Amino acid sequence: MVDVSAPSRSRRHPRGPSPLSSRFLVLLILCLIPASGDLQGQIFERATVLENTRIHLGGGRMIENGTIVIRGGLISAIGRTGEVDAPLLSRTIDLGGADTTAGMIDLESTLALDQGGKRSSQMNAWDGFDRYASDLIREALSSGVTAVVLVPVGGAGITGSASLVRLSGGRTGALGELIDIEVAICIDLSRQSGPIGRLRSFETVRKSFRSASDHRDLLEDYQEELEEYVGELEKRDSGADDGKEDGDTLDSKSVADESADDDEEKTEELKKPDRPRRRPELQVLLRALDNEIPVRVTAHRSEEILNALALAEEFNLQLILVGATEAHLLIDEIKEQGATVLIAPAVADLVPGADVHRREHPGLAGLLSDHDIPWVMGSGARDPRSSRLLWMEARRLVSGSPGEDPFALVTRIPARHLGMGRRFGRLARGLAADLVIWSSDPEIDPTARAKRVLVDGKTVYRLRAPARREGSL
Amino acid sequence: MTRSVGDPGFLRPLLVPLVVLALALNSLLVAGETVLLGGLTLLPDGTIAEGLAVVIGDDGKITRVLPVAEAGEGTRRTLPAGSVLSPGLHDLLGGFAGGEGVERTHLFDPRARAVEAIDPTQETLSLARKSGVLHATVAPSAVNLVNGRTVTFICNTAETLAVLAEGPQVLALGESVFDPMREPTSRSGALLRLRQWLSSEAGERLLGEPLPPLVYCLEATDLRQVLSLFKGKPLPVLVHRGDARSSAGRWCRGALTVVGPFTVSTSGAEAMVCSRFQRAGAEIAFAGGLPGMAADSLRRTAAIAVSAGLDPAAARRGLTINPAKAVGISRIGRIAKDCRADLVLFSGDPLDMASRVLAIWLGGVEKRVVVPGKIPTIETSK
Repeated sequence: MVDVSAPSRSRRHPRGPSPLSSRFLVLLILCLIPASGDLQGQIFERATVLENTRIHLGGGRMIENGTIVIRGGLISAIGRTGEVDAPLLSRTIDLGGADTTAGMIDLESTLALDQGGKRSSQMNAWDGFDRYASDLIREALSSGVTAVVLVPVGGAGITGSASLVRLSGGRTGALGELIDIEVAICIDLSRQSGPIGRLRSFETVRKSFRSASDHRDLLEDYQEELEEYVGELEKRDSGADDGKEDGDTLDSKSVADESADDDEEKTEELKKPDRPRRRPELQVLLRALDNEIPVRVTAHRSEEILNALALAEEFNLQLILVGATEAHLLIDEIKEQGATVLIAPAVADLVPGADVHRREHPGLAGLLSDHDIPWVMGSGARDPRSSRLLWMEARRLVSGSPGEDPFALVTRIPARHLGMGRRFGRLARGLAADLVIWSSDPEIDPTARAKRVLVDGKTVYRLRAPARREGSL
Repeated sequence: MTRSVGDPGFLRPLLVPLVVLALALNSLLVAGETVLLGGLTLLPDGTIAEGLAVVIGDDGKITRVLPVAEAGEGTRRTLPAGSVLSPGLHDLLGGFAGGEGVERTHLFDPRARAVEAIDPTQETLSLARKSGVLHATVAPSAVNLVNGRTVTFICNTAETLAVLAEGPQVLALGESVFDPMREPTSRSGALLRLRQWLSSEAGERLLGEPLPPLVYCLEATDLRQVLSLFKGKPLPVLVHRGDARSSAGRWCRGALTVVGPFTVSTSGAEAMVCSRFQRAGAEIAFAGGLPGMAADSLRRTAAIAVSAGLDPAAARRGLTINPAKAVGISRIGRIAKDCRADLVLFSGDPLDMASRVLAIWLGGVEKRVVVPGKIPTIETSK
């Protein structure tokens, strides 16, 4: 009987290990590479190719009939169709000429956030974020928003820390990924409607910062005393060693006795300094005092803005004025302080009393630009649904400031403001694949709607039934 | 020398004076006319057309809407390219009353007049005008079953109110009517009392009026009750703040429905109710909530409705012609012959929040709104 299998195997693989085992070995090595999740995704994940799309790069730049390659949640290639090679085994989606933009970033939002209860500096917005409030989060996604800065609200004074969240999808149905838990500390100076109430809340905030400042002085004193104490201990140790060496030439017994007496005296004198009591509520304020994080102060009326500026000056804070409805009255003061203005149009709607609207300046954004005052925008953080109106508000805002690019206002600029410009906020190679695919050109057609939204390259929202658009321009 | 009868030579000496007279008459006829052309025009059906000229007579009315090529003589105003000439926006049921306006003494109060509660000197009227809202309709508060009549006026801060017309009777069903100090205290009680009143002489008279009443029915259950009350009769104008998740949208075929104001707090489902109504065959008119809301809240309400699926053309009708229909005034809300020349020039589509008000015409008189030099100018030529 002839064995046919053995010779044939030997013919195909005359020597060396079998290719199956070598492939397995390569795979095993690759698995063992201590790579980041992104890199592993780049290597192992099947690529998605979005082709036949108008890519809005911002600043009026556009790629007609473009292609975007997504791999491992990142944009791995972007360019004109034909100039970008689709990787092997990639999944190709023809977008039929639809417009694609970067996902929008709302710098002032309370999306799916618990707004009740007493607030303190120890609280952060992420803790109150309901990741399962899918109806609210999907509303924000449906308007093209893919990242939000959650701002704790409720009560006047210090309300807690703002957190940066991307609205990516989780495996358990939860939405949202925490990027930074402490983007800024938030203070509300316009919550109180009466002048006395406003004054009180301002004084409370000042007192908190003063406490933090005093606490930092105490910590610094403690540090100095501790260093002195350690130095003294080291000196004594070295003194004791010297004594031991000198003992050979003296009457050893008498010297040892004297040395023991001195040590006793010095031990009595030397006392370890007491560490100041821990004050967790002041930790975030200390970060603000050290300019590690900015301070966001919601202030609408001129007197509130002046208070915010005074606070920033007194404690040398990195100030972001939120709302700032009457900022046009205090342009010079704001410029002198070096504050950034965060225009949040929707906030003004919910401020008690219509007087805020009466002194509203339709061209505030343009005025700030003319005076070289840095400004950004958010939808307005008094309602969990306000992120939905971000794009609409951006367009409204620039209507009074010709020359401003509304798209940059909600994508590139906020990403840069948050120090995330190299991570998302643009459509570029190596950045997160946070994309919005529109029913028509959102920069021209006010009736454009988000048809599909991707975060980290994964679809997190899809428009169910496209409505008829009879009256589109 | 003889002249035949057909020879017009005898007129020759009169020729020059006749021509001069004709030219003078012509110039007199067209001297007061202003021709607006060069931009886009919002038509009564809510679509936007190009290539039309709007001619405003010296009586403050629109005399003609015609292709640009056929536009006659007059003062020609060339509008910036891309700008949209719209009828004045109309805030139906805005809160301009300027006072409490709440009277709970009488459950049936048909004689109440909203016109008596308005302060025409309030600054908000001019603010509204600057944002393109040229007309507003105020209704008595819907706290009684029968509440009195609406009033429609021109938004202009002045010593006297420029009233266009008093409008329909305002009825209400729902929680706003309930009062523990008097009847009714329940929905069924309210329905019973209103049914009794409508079958009374006063009610019969109301139902016989050419202008249908305006009925507040904010909840779906109230809407259903109103539709049952008016079964077999002309449908009233419905004021509804519903939710697309309820089936109320399907019941309103042929009705004119007032929705809004929509704010940041409005959910997607609430905003989507407009498209539900529209699909069911209803027309929409918007309430903007001025002056409690920002000056452009009326436009924002419409823009939110569009973002939730309402057809843009239907939304534009809801800002202009439909509110005028709801209060029975045919001479506003349209760019058409013999209508008042209350016009707004937007830099783009009124539904686009990026569009600014460039100029307005009130009764044919232009009032510039924007700061000169910041936007394209309107060119004038004879």
